[in-house]
Amino acid sequence: MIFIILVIFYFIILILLGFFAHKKTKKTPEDYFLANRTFGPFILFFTLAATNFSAFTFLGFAGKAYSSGFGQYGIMGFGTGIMALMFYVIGRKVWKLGKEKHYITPPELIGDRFNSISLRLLFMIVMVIFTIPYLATQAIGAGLLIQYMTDISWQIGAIVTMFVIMFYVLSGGMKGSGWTDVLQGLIMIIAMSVAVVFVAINLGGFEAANNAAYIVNPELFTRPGGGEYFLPQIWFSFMLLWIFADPMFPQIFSRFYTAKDEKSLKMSMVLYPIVVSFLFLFPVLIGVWAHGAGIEVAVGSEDMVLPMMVATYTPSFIFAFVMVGALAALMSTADSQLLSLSTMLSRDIPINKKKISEIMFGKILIIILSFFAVLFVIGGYDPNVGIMGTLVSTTFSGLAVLCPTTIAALYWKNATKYGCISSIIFGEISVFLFQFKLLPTSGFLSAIWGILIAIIVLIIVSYLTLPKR
Amino acid sequence: MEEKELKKLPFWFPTKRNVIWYFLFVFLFILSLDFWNWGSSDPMLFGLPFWVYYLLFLTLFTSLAFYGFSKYYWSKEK
Repeated sequence: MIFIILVIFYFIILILLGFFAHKKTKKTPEDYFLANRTFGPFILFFTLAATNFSAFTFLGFAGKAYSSGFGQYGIMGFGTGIMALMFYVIGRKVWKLGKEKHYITPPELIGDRFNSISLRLLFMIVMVIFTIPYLATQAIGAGLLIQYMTDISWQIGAIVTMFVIMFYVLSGGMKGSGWTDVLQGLIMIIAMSVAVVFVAINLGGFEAANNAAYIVNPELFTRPGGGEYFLPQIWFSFMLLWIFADPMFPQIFSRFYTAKDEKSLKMSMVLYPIVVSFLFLFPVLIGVWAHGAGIEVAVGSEDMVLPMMVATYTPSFIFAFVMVGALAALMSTADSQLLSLSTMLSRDIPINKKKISEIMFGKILIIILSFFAVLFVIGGYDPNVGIMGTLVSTTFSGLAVLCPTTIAALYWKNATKYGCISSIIFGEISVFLFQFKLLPTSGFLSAIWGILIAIIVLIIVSYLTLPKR
Repeated sequence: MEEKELKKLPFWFPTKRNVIWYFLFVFLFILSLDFWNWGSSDPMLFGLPFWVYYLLFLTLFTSLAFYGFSKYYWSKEK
């Protein structure tokens, strides 16, 4: 009951923020889709963080830590922290070019740099294809949480959550998304902190909780960890993967355009590792502690270990608040994905939109995409794979392949459109071949091979197709 | 190095201005591949293995490195 009241209260605040953002948004594409490039350090940092931290952060981390141990903290914490260097490498240039040339979407910049509609479309298609499953994953997470907390079925929970997201994104655009991200970011940080403190106290203290888990399952405290998951190749792969994959999320890439100035980007870069250093440790601790606490989780349901632990070891109002925090993590990612997908589809597809404004077209797409995500939820979810498995096998690898093209577009004057197109196509094909073990991975993630092949193809084809001077 | 020679270098090649930052970030990345800690959970502090603290402080140090980078390199870039 407390959870339902908190969720209703939380949803009302989100809708009000969306409504308020609507009042403050002018009817220009730049204002609706990019908040007129006015996000200062505070909003930019929170929106970059809340957008990136998702269902995966709350539920997936704890689930993976439950099965494989503390190694999960290493690959996520440091890997995401050092990724923030890309706020300089990619973010700064994207922000500058966006301001000068009024770019709104990522494919717009890439296509314009090489004067190629084909490359722009290809870049957009890859971003869209690999983001839709990720959007659906957020909705699935929300549905599962609501089902766990109430008698409402997970499908209904997912649909209601998507509807609320759709409403405040529709009305508030990027301002709505950014402002709600600040609220959602704060809720998730406070909720995770409160959760870990209460669980630790009720397990007899921090050290006692660790010791109890160590006695039951000591391999979780070493690497390669449970199921020998964290082999050196996997460790290396993940440390590198986030650097290439995270900035290629369209919702992160688009946010580089929204920065008010370079100071905002700098501040976000410095604060990012600080937040992940502790925030990512908390769900991992709870996941590992579940062993010492005697919590039994069925195979395939590891992602529910965090709700189970918090339900068992915290008072009911804290439990309800923590679950709202998890919901905030899911929703802050989903709203940004929804907006960035609709922005790309409304702007990057070369169709005649004379009879309808670009903003209206974007809004129609937000509605269509929301329904599409719901259909994906109902029709395509395989719980045996888990959030981690679903995401790593599709979104991260597929998007990371775009990074070499982006860096070449920003820095390498000898890069050609043919080099970039080939790089993306061969990169994606190789990800597929390695993912399904048609080629040997030697223990590395398929994404690493995809990135490597994308770089090699980009260089070779660019030199082969370089115009003669 | 002459400006002409500098222009011939690949875009990713470290220059005199950024070489320290270049190697610092590569060094931090290498430090994150702490394979020497594999198979061990000792010593433990408050029940947590040493290598977890190591990664935590490495992440915090990365933030410090970013602060230095943004103050002394990024700010001076045109």
